[in-house]
Amino acid sequence: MSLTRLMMLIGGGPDRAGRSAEADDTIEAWLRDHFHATAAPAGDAAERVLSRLMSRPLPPQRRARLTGWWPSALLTSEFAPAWPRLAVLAVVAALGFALGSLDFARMHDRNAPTPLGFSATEGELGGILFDEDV
Amino acid sequence: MTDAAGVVEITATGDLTVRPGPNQMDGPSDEELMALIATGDRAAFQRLAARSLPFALRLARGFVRNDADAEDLAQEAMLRVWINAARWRPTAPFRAWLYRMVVNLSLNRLRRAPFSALDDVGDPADPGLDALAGLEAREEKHRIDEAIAALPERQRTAIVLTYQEGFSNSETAVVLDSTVSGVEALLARARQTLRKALKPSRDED
Repeated sequence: MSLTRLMMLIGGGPDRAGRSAEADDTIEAWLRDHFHATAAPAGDAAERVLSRLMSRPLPPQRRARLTGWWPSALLTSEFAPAWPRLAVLAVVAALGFALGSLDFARMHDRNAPTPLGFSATEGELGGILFDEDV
Repeated sequence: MTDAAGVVEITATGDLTVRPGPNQMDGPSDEELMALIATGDRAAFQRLAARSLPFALRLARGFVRNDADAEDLAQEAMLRVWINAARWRPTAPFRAWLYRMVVNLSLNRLRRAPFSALDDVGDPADPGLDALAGLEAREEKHRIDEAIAALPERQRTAIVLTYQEGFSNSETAVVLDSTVSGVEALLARARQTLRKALKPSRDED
């Protein structure tokens, strides 16, 4: 169907509703014809693009999101010494030492309040752990 | 676009044909190739690109309407497939993800450079038409392209996916990240907009 005929259908007239429905059906068929008539074969173009893609090094890939937030220095399997890795390991070690030191200090201060709000002497602890001999 | 039934196409003569879907071709599926590409496998990427580029090119050309831009867009889409392979999850078919990328890249390109004249280099000459009829046919095509290019982005995308690629409404909904009823509404509005755009003016009556 030509565009002129389609425009006559769209233009309306005495039977406006009928022309509207017919125009809708016609537009659908006409769109399909239009796209398939103007579609160019992609064979040579696909080969050109593929050769361009594979003729040069591909860019670096992004890591999966679960490990994306880790510093890349910790994800590599190469254990050769390098200052970035050493710096990251040193920071992690310092944080671990700081956290561990806080707990260590509380354990050695018997008079310091425990998280539960009471302190226990050695004797009291012995009573909890061992039943008295009958 | 479905894996089981393949893809239905309408040829230029109006015949219906069915070509194999992406997972019916010999060898690993798109999703299996993506798993390999995520590990940096260039051979798997080459295989997937060879399989996907014709679809990506045809879809891009449906938006930008010239071969050079369509090739650039398809190449960019495949590069993004390579870069983001490790982050892709098979919650939808690979082809839907690729199509969505091509659509977004095409629309971004059109926002920077609005519609230009249709590239006539690829049009085959029809020996059956005389010169005047051929000229009228080309003018009609140009007018149709202008009307489609003037559609809002989502309406134009729905039109291209439905009438050029032959997608069902559910498949189009996956690409557009919408619902089937949303796609139906988009297509209805697009047809209405085209009717208004192509309605003859009073001078032409």
